[in-house]
Amino acid sequence: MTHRAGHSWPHMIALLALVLVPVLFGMRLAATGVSVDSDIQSILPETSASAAEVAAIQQASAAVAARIVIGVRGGSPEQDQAGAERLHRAMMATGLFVPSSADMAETTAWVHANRFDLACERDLNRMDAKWGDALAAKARGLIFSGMVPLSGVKLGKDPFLLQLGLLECLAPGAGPASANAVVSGRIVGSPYELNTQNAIKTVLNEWQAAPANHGLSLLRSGAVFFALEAGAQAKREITMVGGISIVLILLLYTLAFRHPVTAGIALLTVFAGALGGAWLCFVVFGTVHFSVFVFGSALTGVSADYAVHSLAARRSTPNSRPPGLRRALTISMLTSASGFAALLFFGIDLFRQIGVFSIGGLLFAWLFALTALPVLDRKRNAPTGKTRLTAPIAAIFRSKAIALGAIAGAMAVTFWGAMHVSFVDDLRQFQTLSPPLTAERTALFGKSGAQFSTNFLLSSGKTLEEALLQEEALIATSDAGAERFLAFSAYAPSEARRAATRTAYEAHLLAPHVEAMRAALGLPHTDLKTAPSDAPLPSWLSALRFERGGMTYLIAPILEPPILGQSSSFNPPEGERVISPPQKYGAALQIYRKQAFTVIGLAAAAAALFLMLVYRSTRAAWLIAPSVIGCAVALCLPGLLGVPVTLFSVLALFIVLGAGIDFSVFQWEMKHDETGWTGTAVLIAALSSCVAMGMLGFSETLPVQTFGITIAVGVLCSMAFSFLAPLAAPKTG
Amino acid sequence: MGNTTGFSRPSRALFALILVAVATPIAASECPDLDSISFDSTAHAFTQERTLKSLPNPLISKGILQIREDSFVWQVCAPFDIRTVIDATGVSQSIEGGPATSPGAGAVQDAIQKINIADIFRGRFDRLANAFTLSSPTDRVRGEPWRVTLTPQPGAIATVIAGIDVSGCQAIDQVAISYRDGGQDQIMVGAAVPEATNAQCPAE
Repeated sequence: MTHRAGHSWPHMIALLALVLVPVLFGMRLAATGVSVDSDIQSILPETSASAAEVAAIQQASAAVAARIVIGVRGGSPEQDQAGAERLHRAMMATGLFVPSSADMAETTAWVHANRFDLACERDLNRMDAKWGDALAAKARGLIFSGMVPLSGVKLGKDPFLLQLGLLECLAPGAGPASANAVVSGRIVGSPYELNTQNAIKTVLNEWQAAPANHGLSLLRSGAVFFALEAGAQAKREITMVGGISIVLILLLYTLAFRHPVTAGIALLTVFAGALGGAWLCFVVFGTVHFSVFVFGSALTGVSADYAVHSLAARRSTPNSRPPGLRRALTISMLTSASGFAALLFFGIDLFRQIGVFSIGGLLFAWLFALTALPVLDRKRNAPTGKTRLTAPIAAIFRSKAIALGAIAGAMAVTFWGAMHVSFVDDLRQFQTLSPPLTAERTALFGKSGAQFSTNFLLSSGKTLEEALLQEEALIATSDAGAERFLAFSAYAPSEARRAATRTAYEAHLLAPHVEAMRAALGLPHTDLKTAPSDAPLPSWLSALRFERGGMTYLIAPILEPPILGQSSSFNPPEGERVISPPQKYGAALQIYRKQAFTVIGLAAAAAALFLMLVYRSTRAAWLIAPSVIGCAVALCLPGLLGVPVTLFSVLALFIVLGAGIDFSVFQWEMKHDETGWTGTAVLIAALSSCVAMGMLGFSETLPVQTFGITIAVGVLCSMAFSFLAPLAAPKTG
Repeated sequence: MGNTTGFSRPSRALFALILVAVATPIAASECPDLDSISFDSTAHAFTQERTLKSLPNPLISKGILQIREDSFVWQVCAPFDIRTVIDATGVSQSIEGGPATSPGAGAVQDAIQKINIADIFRGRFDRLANAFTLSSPTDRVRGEPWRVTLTPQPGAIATVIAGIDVSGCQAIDQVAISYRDGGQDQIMVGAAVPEATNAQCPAE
């Protein structure tokens, strides 16, 4: 006879909650859509960098990392050019692309209007009579040598061709080796936005699929393409790992429960939890970062244990409600939740969101396991009664000598590994740059081609004038050389510099040379106005300026030397005003990692305290021991294999802790189970965790790899030591 | 008395026949086909008339050019002394006797090299095929002066230059560059100046 869950009021309310959550979620989606923050930059904690620096990194990203250059090659010059024009039109249609030509038109108008306030010579002391003579001679050379096309120049207003020279000297020399068949410009907003990446990817895919472009290929340069490539690699890995995991988990559940549908039930339990967690997160925070879904779902994945234990317990007592199951599930859920609650006390929004997601996830998965699972689990072909699958492990740990030996071994591995542990927080070490994209960039820019790094100089002041003066002074004293900076002040200098520059032009260029030049050009005498005329500030230039907290900030991106795509080798000039986003992100991750260590300790303490309160015994704290051993070994063993510890290793410890608590609590709560199903459930839960998440250890991306290895080692270790729980736990249950 | 005024009528007719017979092959050899023209490394005078939209009158420059296999010297003598040399090392310019430096900025040098004025004056049109599409009138009578039009291929130069007309006979006689904004450069190659062995301006 199949046991069916009773339809008590609490049961009905729980079922109703499980139904209502997806409905409410769906209604919210239909009404307002969910607000998902997909910008990687949002993970920067304001504790690692000032609010202004975080804003500056975002601004600099928009100004530099958003730049893209795409060359079309493979056909005749006409075919390449036609392909580039088709790509240009498609990019413009996205509304996310501003072509360089638009920027150039704005810049030309601005430079012309301000030409007597701008100078290629950055040192005011060198703007003397000799400088004026050289400018005049150069202009005569350009105009009268007859070798230079002078299309579009306004010689009446600019007889010394200042605009031409300024446009060239003010912009640092970054550009492709050949301007033919090239689409260049910038992306509006952040290139790290997933929506932006997808829009660009769609355009490129459609361009490549178009018959007119057959035989043509693209050379891509820009942060958005590296981000896309990294995403594609992650997708490939997830597809491979996910595919293998599904097969192995199906096999595991089918072996244990003799029906593959049991794997589906376990998956549904986790899904119900993740859905509930996501809903709660949106209710609490409004906007949720996309990485919260990844880590929140991973932590909620612990709840697969609830399904496994329910399935196993129902098979150990096929004809009645499994004794102690509800209590075991509840204690297990509350203990894990109290541990994850430590995330709520983190000073970082991202971790608070993960905390709310995972606690909500566990709660809803628990509800599902108690209410919906008994309805779904028909125990078809179920082996019931006794199982001896884990008897050998239980037998091993029944020997105190072996148990003590195992603990000593774990401690030895921990200490030995601790001697070799290394930490990696640098984003640049997380993933190597895509070789094909690096090759494309080299082909596009040539071996001597230089591009802007993501590093920049940050200047500030209470007024724009103060900020400009600071930027001018910092660049003037920089060892990097003024030509390495794309500086706001170079195009829109301080009033002090403007006045001095104008005076120098008037005294050393116009006064001695203008009449002779006018005569040579056949121009009538008119007063040449040196005051700047009206022209809108180019939009790309205004992106280098922002205000925050009553202060004005200026960003000056730095040109990196030609290093064939190895941006990590760029050493910015010394000085605290040079901001390196990779270093800032690295510092942020280091802070996260250190705080995560503290929180995992607090989580373990909170869980132990909760167990002591539930069992009213200090010995109950020992139920945490398998998790603690698992965490210690998982953290230190990879050190022996040369695998470093990252923030993601520490985050994985939360899963190890949660899973370990489940194992111990179930081993303790079901200690009177003589069917062997409890041990079997623990083994299945551990193996399925290892398969589902541990296989990420094969990833080529370091954070994913360390996450997977930590879970695999930690969960297996916790599982093994959980067989000691009945020995160490309180005498009374 | 003999005829002292010259040839008899039949003799004049015969002489005219001989002249025609001799002259025809001479005329045919005056203007070779386009792929057979050569350049003369002797310095030649030139006049450049530059019409710019922003100026009321054309700018007239006079000077000496010298074409060699490995270098091209463009010496403006009036109104200013400006010497531009294009060789394997790039483009250098000396203004009024000053030191030879790169003219203008990178974009300026890039433009000079892309137009490849040296090979235009050498008549090496095959070397221009990467940057220009060449076309010439199909109705040219063999031996007569020729004309070729260079149309820039799509790219940066095409946004500035609409076309270049080159005409001549034994060598390049005239180059006319038309700009997209309506401006024009008209260069006329004049007589040889053998005494300017190094394309120097004559002493005043």
